[in-house]
Parts: sequence; C-alpha cells; structure tokens
Amino acid sequence: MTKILAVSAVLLFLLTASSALSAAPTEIRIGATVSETGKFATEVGPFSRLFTAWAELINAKGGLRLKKYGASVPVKTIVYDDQSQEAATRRLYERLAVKDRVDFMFGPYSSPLTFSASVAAENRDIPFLAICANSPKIYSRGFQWLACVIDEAPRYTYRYWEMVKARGSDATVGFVVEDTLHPLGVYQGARVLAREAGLTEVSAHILAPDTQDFTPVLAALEKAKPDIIFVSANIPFSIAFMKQALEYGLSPKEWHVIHHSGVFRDTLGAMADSIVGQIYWTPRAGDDMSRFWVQILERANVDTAMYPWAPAYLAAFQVAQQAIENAGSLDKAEIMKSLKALRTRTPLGEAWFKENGSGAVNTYPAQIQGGNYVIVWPPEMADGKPVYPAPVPK
Amino acid sequence: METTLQLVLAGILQGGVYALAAIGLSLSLGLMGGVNLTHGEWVMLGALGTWLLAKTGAPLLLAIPASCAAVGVLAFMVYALVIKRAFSVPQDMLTRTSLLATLGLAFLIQESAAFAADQPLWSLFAPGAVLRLGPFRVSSVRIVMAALLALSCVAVWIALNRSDWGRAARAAIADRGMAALMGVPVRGLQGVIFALSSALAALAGGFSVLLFSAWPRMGLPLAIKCLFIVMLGRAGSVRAPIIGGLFMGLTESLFSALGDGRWAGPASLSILLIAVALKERVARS
Repeated sequence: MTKILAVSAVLLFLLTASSALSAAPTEIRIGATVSETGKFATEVGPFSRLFTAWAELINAKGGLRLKKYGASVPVKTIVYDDQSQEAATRRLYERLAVKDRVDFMFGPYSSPLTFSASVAAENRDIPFLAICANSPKIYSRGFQWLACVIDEAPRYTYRYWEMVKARGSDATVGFVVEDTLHPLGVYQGARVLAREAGLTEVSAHILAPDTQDFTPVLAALEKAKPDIIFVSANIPFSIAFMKQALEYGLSPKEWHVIHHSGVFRDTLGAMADSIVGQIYWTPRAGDDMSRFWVQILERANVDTAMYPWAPAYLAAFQVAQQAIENAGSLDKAEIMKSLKALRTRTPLGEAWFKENGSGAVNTYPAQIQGGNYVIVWPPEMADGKPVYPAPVPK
Repeated sequence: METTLQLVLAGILQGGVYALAAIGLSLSLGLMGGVNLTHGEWVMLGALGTWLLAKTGAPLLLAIPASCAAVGVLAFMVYALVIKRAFSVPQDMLTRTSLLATLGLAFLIQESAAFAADQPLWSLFAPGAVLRLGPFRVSSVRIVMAALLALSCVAVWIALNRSDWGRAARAAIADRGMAALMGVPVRGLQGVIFALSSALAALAGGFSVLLFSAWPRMGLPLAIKCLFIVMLGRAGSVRAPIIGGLFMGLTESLFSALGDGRWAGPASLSILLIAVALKERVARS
C-alpha cells in the first residue's frame, strides 16, 4: 500500500512538473513603436536599436526569470516605425495587441503619441509602460493599465528652478512655448516654479509648432529684457527659434532650452555653449546597472549626447524587467500589479509610480560647455559648475 | 513700427526663397507643360546637399553652388530616364501621366533622402554681426542672403532675356511648335531647362537650410505652394513668381504677428488663391 502511495506521489509530482514546464512560454513578447521618421526622429530616431540591444543582452543571460514556470524565458521585441503620427501610432498599437499578441508594451515617444497609443493597451488589458510622455492629460483619464517611468511635465524642470533660487541672481523670466502637449505642460509647471523661486514672468509667447518667423516675439523679448529666456519646445522649434534669436542679438543672463539635444548643439555650433537644458544622465562609472546601461548604449551605437532621452528608455527597460520578474509569470494583471507596486533604484534615481500611473524619475539641468553636456545641479549629481551669466556672443 | 519693419525684412527673405523656387517651376512648366511635382524635392535635395557639404567643413559660399550643380546634374539624369518619356505622351494624357510620374518620383526621392541622411532635420547656423539702425536690427548674414537671393533672380532674368540661349528658351515657352519650325532644338532645351529649374530649386533649398530648417518630407507641400505662385502669371514667366513669392513671404510674415502664427500659412495661401481667381476672371473678361 505504501509502495502504491509513493509511486502515485512520484507520478503526480512528475505530471504536475511536466504540465508546469510545458506551460512555460517560449518567449516574452514586448511591443513598442519608435519615431524612426517624422518630426520626432530628431529625438529618438535610432531607438529601435536600443530595444534590440537590450533584448539581446537579456537573452544572452537566458532571458527573464519567471518563477511560475521555473525557467528563464527569452525576450522578443517587436518595434514599428510610427512616423511620429498619432493615427499611425494608434493603428500600430492595435496591431501589437491583436495580431502580435504582446505581453507588455512600451510607449512611443512624446505625449501626443502616448495619449493615442495607451488606449489600445487599456482596451485590451495589456500592461503599458510609457517612457517620454509626461503631459498630465495622459494620466488624468483613470487608466488602469498605464504607468510611466518619468515624472509629470509640470515638475520636469524643478531642479533647474531650485538652482535658480539657490543662485538668487535672477529677477525676471520670459517664456517661449511651442503649443504642443509636453512643452505646454512643462511651461505650466515652470511658471509656478519660477514664481516660487522668486522670479517675475515678464512675457509668455505660446506659438504654433511649425512657426518659422519669430520676429514679433524677438522684438517683444528685447523690450521685456528678462534675465532668463526659457524655451519650452521640441527640437525643430527650438532650433528655428534659437537661430533667429541669436541672429537678432538677444543675450539674456541665461538661456534655458528644455530639449537641447545633440542635433540642436551641432546646428548652433559654438553659439550653443552655455545654453542650459534638461537631461537625464551622463554615462558614468557606477553600479552594475550603470555598466549594463553603457553596454546597451554601446551595442546600440546610441550616443546620449545626441539623444539625451536614451537613459529614460534604459530606466524603462530596468523597470519592465523587474516588474515582469517580480510578477513571475506572463499573467498581465500580475505584471501590472507588480509594476505599480515597484520601487527600485535606477542610475537616474528612485523609480516608483503614483496613483494615477505617472512616475518619479526626473531630469537634471545640464549646460553645454565646450560642446559637452555638464550636469550642473544638484551638487551631488553635478559634473561641473554652471557658467553664469552666459557670455555675450561676439 | 520697428517690429513691422523687422517683419517685412523676414518676409522678403522668406519670399525670396519662394520666388527662386517658383521661377524654376515656372520655366519647366512653361517649356514642358504637364505637372511637375518633383520640384519641391529638388529644393529638399539642395538643402540636404548644402547641409552635408557644410558638415564636412566646406564654406557655405562653396557648399550652396556645389549642391546646386550636383542637383542640376541629377535632375538632368532623371529627365533623360523618366521625365522625357512621361512628358512625351499625347496632349490629352499629359496632365495625368506627368502628375503620376512626378508624384511617384517625388516619393522615391523623399524616401531615398530620408534613408541616406543620418539626421532627420537639417539646419545650418551662420553667426554674423548684428547691425543696428536705431531700434531696427538685422543680422549681416541675412542682408548677404537677401542680396544673394535678389542677385540670383536678376541673373536668371538676364540669362533668359539677354542670351541667345535664353531667347530660344523663351520662344519655345511661347510656342513650342513654331520654335521647332524655326530651328530651336526644343527637346534638347527641355532637358536643359529641367536641369536649370531644378538647380534653381536647389539654390532655394541652400538658402532655406540657412534661414530656416529642412527635412526629407518638406518637398511636396512646397511644390504645391510654388504651383499656386506660378498660377499668378503664365507658365514660363519670371516676373510673376517673383511677385507671387514675395507676396507670399510677406503675408506669411505679417500674419505671423497675429495670434500664435498658426494661420499665417493658410491665410497667405488663401489670399494668393483669391488673387489667382481674380486674375483669371479679368483675363476672361
């Protein structure tokens, strides 16, 4: 009798184990779109390579460990070009959900595209991790399947205003704003933060995204003479504005251009020196994760000076990896629960999520000095000291 | 007042770029008939060529003409391979065939440029001294560019009106059949005019990358704007594109001071369309 019981127990164990093993998925399907073409390509064009490099490095270690199946499962990334267009993005995320049947989605670049894309995930109960999309509008819809790595747009420049307050040398600020979701959100927060830092807003110009002629704005700024001119815009707009502003001879004590990427820096050449903007990270020696990030960047051949948003993607990869491994299975509800509950240290700072899904990772003020990006605040993160006031161009 | 003056100067520069591009289109339409939607792509390629050469360290005064020359040669090859055939169909099929052929070519050129360029936005910045006349201020670079734009338009006008070749081209534009009977090599001229008009467009692109920014898909909307400008006069005219281009640049610039500038483009285009409609009405009456 004991023998029969023992054999039955062994058989039962083998049966359970084998059924559990046979249920292990062959891959974890992760979908995303990247703006390889269109207006956002200046900001994230080559980022599909980041997805590929991350998956290859993860898979080289066997994949992501899923406890439920007692196995590591390789990652398969499916990335499409959304052409920087909302309609195309919406269509592609529907495709990722329905045809590609992904287990997890990373968001596209920018707030307008994420606003559209996240609907597909919400309708089909798929965990959706937004990356560079921080307009509060996205997170005010009560979506349950949406989370974002980065903090909301109004807080995007809070560290810069901390620096301005600590410096105590500026009295006035003039805003030039591109009329799109993210720049508007950043501006709305920045004007409050500037007031809190003791500055007076002397002018604010909200302009259409494809504005080519800034003459009226330049004339108004010349009259208002703000200490800081704060440009809240995407890269094409910022380049067009700064070219004309520098040609016009405006020279405030400080320029702040929220997106002053490598394309921006290379176009303005030496005139870009001393312009302050926001970046997430400068590659540096650090912990294991920092080294892993550097590996991904090198494999993908993506330079963070040209594409300062790359570290936000790397933080998203880290967060997604930990959320899936903590969930231990590909059950979408489990992954989402694990994602929302996650609190982890990334090279950019601590990552966690608020009730509405928005994240906590934020940018640092960085100044272009001799063609390099130098984080100038807070002191514990700074690579160097800010040049202030900005030298008047000769 | 000074703001208005600044706006006028900005409008003249923008208008000069439109005018230069539209002169080229006017000439090619005048001599070849049909519809040429590749024209905006030559502007884009001119901008790309200038940007690429400037990136390698070439001085701008060399990069712009070199880029124009390269675009002219490429356009001649495209003419010989595709355009000549597409525009050789009977008159009743010309509009449809030319439209389809040039639209296809435009997309092909666009996508090739997007693929070839390692950056999706091209912009050059040439810092120069800021000249101040009382409250009025202008960059010396902009004055040089305005002068070069004007000089380019005058050079085209002189070439067409004072040279034998130009007179032959004008004769062919006025009446292709009669010009052929008088011994003008119309077919040969078509290729040369197509290359020249494309080089003029590339010149506009070179200025455009300095004044504003350029990108792979900028061509088609620009080609359509140029078509409207050309419609202000008769195809083949040089004066009408200059007037239309400057008008468009000035209205866009002045409208940009109203509101957030979103309506500057559509408003100036609407006024131009009304002007075209009025001109047609006057011509008919």
